Amino acid sequence: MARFEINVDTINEQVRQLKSSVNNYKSDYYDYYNNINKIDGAWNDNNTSGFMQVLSKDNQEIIENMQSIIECSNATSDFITSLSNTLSSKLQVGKIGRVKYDSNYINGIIDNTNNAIELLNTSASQLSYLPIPPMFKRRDLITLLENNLRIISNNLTIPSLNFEYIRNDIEKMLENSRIRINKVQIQPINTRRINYRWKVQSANLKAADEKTTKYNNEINNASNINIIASNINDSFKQATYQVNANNSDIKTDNYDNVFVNREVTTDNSNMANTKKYDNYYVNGEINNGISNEINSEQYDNYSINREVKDNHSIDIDSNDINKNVYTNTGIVNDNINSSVDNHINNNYNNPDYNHYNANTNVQNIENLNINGNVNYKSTLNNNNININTNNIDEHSNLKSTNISDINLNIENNSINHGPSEMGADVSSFSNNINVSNINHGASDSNVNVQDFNSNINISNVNKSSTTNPVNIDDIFNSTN
Amino acid sequence: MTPKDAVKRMLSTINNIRKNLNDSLIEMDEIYKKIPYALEVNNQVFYRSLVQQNKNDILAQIRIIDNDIIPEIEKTLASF
Repeated sequence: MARFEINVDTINEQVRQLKSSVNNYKSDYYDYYNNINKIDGAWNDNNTSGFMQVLSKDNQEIIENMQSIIECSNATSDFITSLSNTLSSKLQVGKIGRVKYDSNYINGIIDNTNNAIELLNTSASQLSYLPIPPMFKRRDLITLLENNLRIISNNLTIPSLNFEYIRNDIEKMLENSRIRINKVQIQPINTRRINYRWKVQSANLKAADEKTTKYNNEINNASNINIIASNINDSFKQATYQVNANNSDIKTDNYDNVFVNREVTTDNSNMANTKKYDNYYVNGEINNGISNEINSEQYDNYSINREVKDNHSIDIDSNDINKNVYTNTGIVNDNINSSVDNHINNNYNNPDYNHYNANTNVQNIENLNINGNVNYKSTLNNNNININTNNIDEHSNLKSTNISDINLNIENNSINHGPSEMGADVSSFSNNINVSNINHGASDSNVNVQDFNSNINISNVNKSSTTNPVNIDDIFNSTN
Repeated sequence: MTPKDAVKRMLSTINNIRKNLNDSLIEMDEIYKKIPYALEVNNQVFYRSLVQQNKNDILAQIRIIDNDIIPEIEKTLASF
């Protein structure tokens, strides 16, 4: 009989203590690590080389110890989660508190089932050997009863076997749990030791380029900087900010997403409190203008990385990008598919959208260059898409293009065609265009606005004063 | 063994079988009550319906014994 009892609260408390220890250690470690780099960057005295060697050695020791704690903590936490989830899914127990399992319970079910089966089979056997006197005329009733009892007996084997399966599954899980419990070992570590040994907070940093470079290199070479993955403290934020601000060739290949994202936290206090790792990452990279150098291949889910990588011309202001672009889950120049409203404010200059399928509120895009299938499914509220003739001349796709299926559902917006140069033709070969509030700015002369289209609804087309007539051809269903 | 004794013996056997079926019903009730609520709802429904169906089947067999077989045996006995 398998019996199992575990106080989840107790183990959870152990995990909490472990994690608290890890976090304290992280904080200490980071302070210390930061100081190492300060020293490293500021110190050019040969007499300090020994000191630096000791620091480096301690640093490595901290990293190793901390990794050990983290692994221990994670293993314990994983175990508790797994155990709690599995038990609660199979038994009527909560996830917190005392979890009990007694196989007597389920064994009782199995025994009852098997007893019932046995009784039925016994009865059927007795019937089959029943000496039926010749004068008993309803022999068929006996045969029918026997057959029915055997059918019921067979049917009962299904729950019996299934309950046995459940029992075996639970007991196997419990055995695995015991093995995992035995593997968890808590390693006490003196987390304060380093701070006691070295008091380097007062080290002065000199702003020489050489030392700055050295500082950054130290950060880059510290491959385990990703240990600082949670509970970002002030010193960490500050330090990582410096890293990003000063260094343009951070290699992130060896970091997983979580750590990298946190690592690149900026000094934005709001971001420091959020759990959205992609925000961290985006802000960090963008803020510091190092997007072109980021190897972002492994961050497919965080589109902005790809976006930045593939579109070097996008210049995004950090204040806006903080909350706006992380929800893009596609790649510019390929697909942007977003079910979430995106707010891209102000800061796109000359973006190229080859395939843009997004429920997006786009505001204040200048010099929009659109190539291909464009579906703005969201309304463009209070936007101004300004297309100047000079730009149109530069971007021939806007001057004359084969755009199909453009749906511009524009409310309270306007498309302003600025003053056109002489002889500029604005034409579009399009289908299914719904455009309202088109304002043609004052033109010099001979501006031909031609729409070789069908199913075009154009309303509120206003022509500003022009020196020469503007020809608007082939406009269907137009209202003015 | 006289024919009458043979019929009596058959009646005794049938009564014994009927008792077995009653015991099976009790076991079924125990199974039914012990089906864990922590199982997925679909599984709970499945097992309960299965046990209930088996109970119904056994009850049907008891009714066959009570309503058809035993009266028939008693009728045979009475004919002696």
